[in-house]
Amino acid sequence: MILKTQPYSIENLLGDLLRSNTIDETEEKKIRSYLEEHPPTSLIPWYMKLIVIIGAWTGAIIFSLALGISRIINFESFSSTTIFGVLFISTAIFCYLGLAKSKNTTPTEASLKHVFWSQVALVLSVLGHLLLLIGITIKFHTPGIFVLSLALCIGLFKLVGDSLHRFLSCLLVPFTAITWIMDKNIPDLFHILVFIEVAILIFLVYKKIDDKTFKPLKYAMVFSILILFFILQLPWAHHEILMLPSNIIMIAVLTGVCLHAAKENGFKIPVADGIIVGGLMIVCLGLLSTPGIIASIALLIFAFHSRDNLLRAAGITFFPGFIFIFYYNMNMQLDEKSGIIAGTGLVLLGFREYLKRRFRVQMETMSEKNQSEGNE
Amino acid sequence: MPDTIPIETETNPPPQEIKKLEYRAKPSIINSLHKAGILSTPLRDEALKRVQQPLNWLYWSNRFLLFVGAALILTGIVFFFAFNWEKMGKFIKFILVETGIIVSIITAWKLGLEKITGKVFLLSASILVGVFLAVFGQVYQTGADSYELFVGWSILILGWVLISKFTALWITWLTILNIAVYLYWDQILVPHDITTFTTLLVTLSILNTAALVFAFLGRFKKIEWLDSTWHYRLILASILFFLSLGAIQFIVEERESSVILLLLFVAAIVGTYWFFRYRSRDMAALTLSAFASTAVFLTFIGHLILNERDNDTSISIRLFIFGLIVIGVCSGVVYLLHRLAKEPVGEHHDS
Repeated sequence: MILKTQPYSIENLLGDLLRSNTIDETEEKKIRSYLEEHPPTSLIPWYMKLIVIIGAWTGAIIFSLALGISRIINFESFSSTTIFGVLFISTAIFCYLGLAKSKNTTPTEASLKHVFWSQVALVLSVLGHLLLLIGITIKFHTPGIFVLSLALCIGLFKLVGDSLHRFLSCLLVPFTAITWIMDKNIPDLFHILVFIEVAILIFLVYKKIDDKTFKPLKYAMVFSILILFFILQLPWAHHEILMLPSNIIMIAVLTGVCLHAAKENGFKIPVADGIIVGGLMIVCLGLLSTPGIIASIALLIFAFHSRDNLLRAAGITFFPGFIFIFYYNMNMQLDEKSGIIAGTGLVLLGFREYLKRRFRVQMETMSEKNQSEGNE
Repeated sequence: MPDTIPIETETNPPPQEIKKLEYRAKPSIINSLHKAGILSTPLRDEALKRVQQPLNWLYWSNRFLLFVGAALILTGIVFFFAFNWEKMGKFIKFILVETGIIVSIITAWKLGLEKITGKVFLLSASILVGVFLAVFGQVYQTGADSYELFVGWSILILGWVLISKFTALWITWLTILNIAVYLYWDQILVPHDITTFTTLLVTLSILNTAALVFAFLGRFKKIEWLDSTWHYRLILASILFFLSLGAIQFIVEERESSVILLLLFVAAIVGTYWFFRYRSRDMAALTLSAFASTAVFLTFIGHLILNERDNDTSISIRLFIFGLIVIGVCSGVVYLLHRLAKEPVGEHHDS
């Protein structure tokens, strides 16, 4: 009894390609042979991986408690925290390098062992980083932790092949930078940090550097920008920091994303439409909104264009949060706010109507195509 | 009725049809084939076209603007009423909520309960009944306990739940019932010292087990709206949660009255294992059961090892041992589950 729709499998794909004579039997055998030797690790269901992850993290935290209680690690000593930090990170690197070289197990067993040991290594690395940060803070304060996190990120980036490790390592750098900026109390530096992160993202996208190695860096930059804007928009912060420079940066990003998506998809935007829509975008979003809202809109468009579910999830998660904080921070009565909120909604629905009328033929064609394919 | 009712999932294809490549065709797999030189660029593009739907920007922007625009308008309306709530007369309040219920019911009737939108409107009407009861209690200050609101709510919407054939509404109704039981225990039984936390957990477990039995009877009779897996997994998770809580309470507090929960917990684990391994294979359900067992077992071990007060060195040694046990047990459980997942569906195993 099949209780849900079967997904489109590799088996289905090979069958379709064979039937349409896109591939022959020799090519099919090559594909099968390669996939049997290199099955995707997602053969292990996510809920089983979750138990492994919980077990690894819980065990490692308990070990750290044991070390802490026994006073083997003295959390108030620079030398103790630094030595153990280096020891943990070295052990983690050793585990990661061992995993990379492991050849003797079958692929599925390797996946399960790989999940377990990569989690143990990750936990050791996280603990090592934390201990080093504590130690460096004791001696060198906030500039030291920024330099340390940057050095560790660059040093370990190629050495450790684990994507999650790379992501966390890259995410740590902007956060230590934020800590340093807050410590020095120079809020304008936040905008420079945003500019640098956006520049890194533009470089990665423009150069089409999208392989597995640099994807964690891309995600880390995106998440750190969103989290930074979220923190800056919180009620205690938003009155003190002028957000206009980041607004300008984000409007430029949004414009760039729209043009990039249009170019990649072969859309030709009429000049008049471009000027009207672009002008409205700059006025409404740039002057009346916040960089967080603009960033999450740009992210949603980019995520849809690049079919990236993680970025889409991030956009869907952060967008309502930014909208909520934006309206919460408005210095007016609730009934006035409710009018503005409802009015914004009407504007969006009005823009939707404009699009429907402007692109009526294309939408009707899409609708007929969906109906004929039985998608409706 | 067949002896076994295999549930085909992405990880459990039937044995006679096991093909090695039944997993989902993802773009990442195709890109890795291209990177390894197995697929040429034109072949990769052809494969990606089959695996990925073409981007429909107009559809996406249409849906995005509709969803966000509608959400903002509704939020604005809700905030407007929230601001003016105190100033509104009681009849305006009732008229608003009742209009919402009537509009939802009429819309559900017009659209028909065969369509998902009709069912969603019926769900909205059911939720608004609860809102109505809350407003009623607020306006008239009857002094009734809140459990009465939930009991009344569950009774009033029962008819709609039965005709809706909508799993989400059924689960909502079950949730309301669970809350009613908890509030009755908390507001009536506990102040009169009639019962204990154990009784609450047992009652909730029995209630949800009855729901689980109903869900599976429906599946065996092939009732379409009970065909999905998410709802019975959710009910199973709640049963295991209540019983795990009881078992942990017995272990930690060493209360004799909780022994019944420990026995029920063991029975639930054994029953879940037997049913979802031999009768209706479902690895997710088995994993839930394994997770609950692991949590209780590790609590027992932790209580045994760490309960005694001692010097720091002894505690740290025991913590270290406990850490090893945690890692070992979790890894062992996943290893066993993974072996189970590789077994063909429908075969009986003695070991």
